[in-house]
Amino acid sequence: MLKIRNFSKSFNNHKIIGVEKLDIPEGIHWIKGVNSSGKSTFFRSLAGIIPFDGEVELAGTDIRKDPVAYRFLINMSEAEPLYPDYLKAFDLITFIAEAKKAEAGQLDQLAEALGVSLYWKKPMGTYSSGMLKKVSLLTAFLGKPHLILLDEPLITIDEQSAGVVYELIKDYHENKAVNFLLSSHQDFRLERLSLGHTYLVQNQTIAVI
Amino acid sequence: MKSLLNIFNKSIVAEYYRQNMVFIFVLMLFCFGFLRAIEHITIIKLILRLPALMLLTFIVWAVYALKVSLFNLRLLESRQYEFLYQARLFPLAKRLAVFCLVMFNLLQLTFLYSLAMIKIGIDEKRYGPAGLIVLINLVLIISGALVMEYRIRMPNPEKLLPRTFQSVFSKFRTPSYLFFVRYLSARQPVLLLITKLFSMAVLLGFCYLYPTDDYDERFLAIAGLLVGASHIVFNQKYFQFEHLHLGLLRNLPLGFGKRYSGYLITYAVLLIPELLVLIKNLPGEVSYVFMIQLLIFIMSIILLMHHLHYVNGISKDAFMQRLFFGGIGLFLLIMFKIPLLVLSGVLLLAGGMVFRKHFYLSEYHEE
Repeated sequence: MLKIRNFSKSFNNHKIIGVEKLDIPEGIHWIKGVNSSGKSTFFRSLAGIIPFDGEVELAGTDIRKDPVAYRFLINMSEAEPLYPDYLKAFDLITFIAEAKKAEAGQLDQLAEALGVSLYWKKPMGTYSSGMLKKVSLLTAFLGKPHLILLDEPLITIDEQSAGVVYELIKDYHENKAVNFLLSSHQDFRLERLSLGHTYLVQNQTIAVI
Repeated sequence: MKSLLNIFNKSIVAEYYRQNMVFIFVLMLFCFGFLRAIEHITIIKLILRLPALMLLTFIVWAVYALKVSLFNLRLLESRQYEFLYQARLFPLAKRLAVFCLVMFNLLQLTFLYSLAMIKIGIDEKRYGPAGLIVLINLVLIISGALVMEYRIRMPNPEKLLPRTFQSVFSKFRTPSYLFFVRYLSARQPVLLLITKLFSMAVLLGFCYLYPTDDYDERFLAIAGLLVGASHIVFNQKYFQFEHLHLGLLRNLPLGFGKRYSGYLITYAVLLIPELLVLIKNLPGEVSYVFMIQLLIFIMSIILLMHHLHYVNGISKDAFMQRLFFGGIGLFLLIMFKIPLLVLSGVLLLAGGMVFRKHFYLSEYHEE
C-alpha cells in the first residue's frame, strides 16, 4: 500500500528521521515511539505538509509526480492542531470537505458523531484542546481517502469521544477499505481494533517489531 | 524584578522584533532609502515649527504604539504565553516598572527618531516642542504599560472582539480566500491600516501631482511599483500564517491553478481600497484601460513577491536586497517605456513558475 524509499527528513541539517526502505501493507497499523522520536514529522511528510528527501508512493500514486491525486488518497489529523482562532470550525471544515470532494451528508454525519456540530459555528479561539482535537479528527475522515494518518488520536479527548473514534476507524476500515496509521506513545486498546503491524520509531529510523 | 523583566523581554520584546523584522526593514527603506540625513533634519525643523505637523507626527507614533499594544495583547491572550500571568504575583510597583521598560524597548523605533528631534529642538532653542516630545514618549510608554497591566489583571480574551462583530461573522460562512483577510483584520489591524493608508496616499499623491507637470503614464506606473512593494509585509505575514495556522492546506488536493487563483482573489480583495482611490482620482488624461493595466501590474508585483517566499534558504537580508534591486530594475524598465502589460505578464509568469517549482518544497523556519 505505502512504499517508502530513501526517505530522509532533516531540520537545520539535523536528521530527524530516515528510512531506507519500508513497505507498509494495507490494514490498521500502530506507529509507536517516545516523545520527539519523529512520529509527527514522519506523518506530516507522508501527508505532503512538509517536504522531505526520497520517494513515497501510496497505492501506486507518487507524491511528487501526481501531487493532487496523492492528496486525495491521504488524510491526516495532527496531534496538536493549531487553527486560526477567529475562524469558525465550520468555515474550515466545509472548505476541507469541498477540497476533498466529500460526499453529501458525510460532513454532517461525522460532525454529529463526534459532537462537533454542537460548537462548530463559534470561533475556534473559544474551544478547549479536546474540541480542537475533534475538529482535526473530523477533517481526517472527509472524502474518500485510502490512508488516514492519526497522530496521537486519543490525547485530550474524553472516553466517549475516544469510543466514537474507535468505531469510526473500524467502520472506515471494514466498510470503506480505508487503511490507518495510528501514532501513539501509549498502548492502544487492542481489543477494540484489529491492529496489523507495529512499527517502532527510534534512533532516527522506523522498523517493524 | 530582573527575572520578571528578563522573561518579558525574551517572550514579548524579542518575539515582536522577530515577527516584525520585515515591517521594520521596509519602513526603514521607505524612510531612509529615499531621504538623506539633511532632508530628515529639514523635516524635523519644520515639524518643530509647525504644530499641525507636530500633531501628525504624534498621531503616527500613537498608531505605532497601538500596533505594539495590540501585539502585546495578542501574545498575552495566547495559550503558550499564559505563564506570563504569574507576573500578577509581583508587587504592583515592580510590575509597572517592568511593563514600562518593556514598552520602552518595544517603542525604540519611534523613540530613537524622537531623540534626534529632541536634540535638534534643543539646538534650535525650541524647548517647548522638545519638552512635548519627551512628554508624548512618556505618555505612550505609560499607557502601553497600563494596557499590559489591565490584561494581566483581567485575562478575558473572549471579550476582545465585540459581541456584535462575533455575531455578524457567525451568521456567514467565511470563504477560504477571506481566511487571510480576516487574519489581517482580526490579528494585524494596525498593519492593515498602515499599509492601506500608505498605498492609498501614494496613489492619491501621484494622481494629484500628475496634472501639475508634463508627466505621462510612466509616472503612475512608478506609483504602482511603490504600492506593490508596500505589500511585502502582507506577503510575509501570509506565508507565516499559512505555515503556522493552516499547514493542513498543503494536504488538500488542490491543483496549482486553484491555489494560484486563491491567492489572486485574496490580494484582489485587499486591493479594493486602491481601486476605489484610482476610480475616484484618476487624472482626466489617463484612460480607465490604463487604470486596469496599472492594477494588474500592482497585482503581478504582489503575487511575485508572495511566491518568492516559497523559495527556501534565502535569508531575510538577501531577500530584501534582491527585492530592492528587482524594484530598481522595474523602475528602469518603466522609464524605458516597456508597456505595463508586458511587465505584468513577465512578473505573473515568473511568479507562477516560482510557485510551481517551490510550493511543495517550501518550509517555514522561525528566525
